[in-house]
Amino acid sequence: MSGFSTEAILLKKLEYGDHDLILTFFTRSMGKITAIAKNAKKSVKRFSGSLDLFSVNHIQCTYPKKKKDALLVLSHADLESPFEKIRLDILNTSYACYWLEMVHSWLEEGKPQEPLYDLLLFALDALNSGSMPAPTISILFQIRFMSISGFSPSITECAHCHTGLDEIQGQKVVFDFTEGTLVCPNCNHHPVKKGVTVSKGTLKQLFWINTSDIHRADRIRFSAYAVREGEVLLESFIPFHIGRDLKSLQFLKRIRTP
Amino acid sequence: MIDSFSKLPGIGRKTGERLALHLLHASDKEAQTLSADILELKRNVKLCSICFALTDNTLCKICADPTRDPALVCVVEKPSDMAAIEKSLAFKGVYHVLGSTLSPMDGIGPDDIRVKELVKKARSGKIKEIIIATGTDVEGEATASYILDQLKPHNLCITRIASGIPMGGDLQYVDQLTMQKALEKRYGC
Repeated sequence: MSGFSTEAILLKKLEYGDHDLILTFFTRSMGKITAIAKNAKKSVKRFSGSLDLFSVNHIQCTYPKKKKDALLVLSHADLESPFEKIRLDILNTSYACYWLEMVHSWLEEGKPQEPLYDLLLFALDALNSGSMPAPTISILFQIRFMSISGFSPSITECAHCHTGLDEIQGQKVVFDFTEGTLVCPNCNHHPVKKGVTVSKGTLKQLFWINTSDIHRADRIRFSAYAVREGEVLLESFIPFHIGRDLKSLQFLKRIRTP
Repeated sequence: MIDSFSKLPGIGRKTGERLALHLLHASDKEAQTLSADILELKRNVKLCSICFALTDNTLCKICADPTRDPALVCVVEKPSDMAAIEKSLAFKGVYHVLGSTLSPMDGIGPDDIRVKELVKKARSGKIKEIIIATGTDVEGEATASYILDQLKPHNLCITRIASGIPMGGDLQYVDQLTMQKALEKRYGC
């Protein structure tokens, strides 16, 4: 029976019938794959404790015997990292689920995306270890997710007069969601269908966190105001580009509200 | 009829056909009993006004039992979890059924489960201990964390059920997280 084994992060879990699970994994070598785990809800030997959201497993799958378009069959999963501390905090769980849903919504089946895999792994690890505040990790994940996915916003100059961010007069600029670009106060006669006002300082920090070495990202200190602005910008821009509302983002916003 | 059976969980068209044929050959009395039972289930089964378990009265058997301790409340996700705890005969308190667990990816938020009702009970001052007995998966642990946050201001004893090696379990099949928890909560000496 032919098959393969790979390292994978569990993105989505769906109950199927009384005992089976349909699982969507993000694998390092094969991108997003969906597999059925037969009898998974009862099995203590093959899947003991391993099929939980955002856990990293070494999985073994077999190709379907007859129909070519049928689901892969998950034959074994070895838990490598459960990220056990994330689940002990509802806010951290909400952030992790938001990232998973974002990746799940954006990725096509079977297209490897190693940089995105490493980014997700880095973000989950940082959240689990508490090495950086959760909102900062989320900002880092979102801005780098956009860069990797090819819809990185242009935040270094005005899209119309090409004045650099530092030279733009005033403290605030408008970010245009449709174009993914900035509009300076001098060019505000250009219509912006959907956008948000954001301060130059926040944009500079977003640029830094997107371009600097990811392992030095814990050095950045966002003010509470910059975190709020960054969250509003990114959490509006990403669903706009993905083209659908993300349930876990609505959940996260609800949990974040005191 | 086959279509109606096929809508039930775990039943496909073939099983639906088999059930329909069985009923076709069954006696009139058997068919009448089944249809009466289905109607009774829909008409009479409701939620207990205290714990939200399924019952055919205003109060479920456990809430109506004077020998149970109402100051000890066990929080479970669904009625089947309550049945599993009852089977152990180890719990003499009462229950609170949440109805579901928080699930960010399914959009099940705090307003969709019965946490407000639990907080209201905690505020009454009649409860001494709340045992959070949601599952140990991500949704269960996250729900436990949320409930703990909500109950913190009420100065109650709040506990979480332990997790560890199952009875008759083989250690080689136990995952590292369960093993870690089992060692942390070891007893004796």
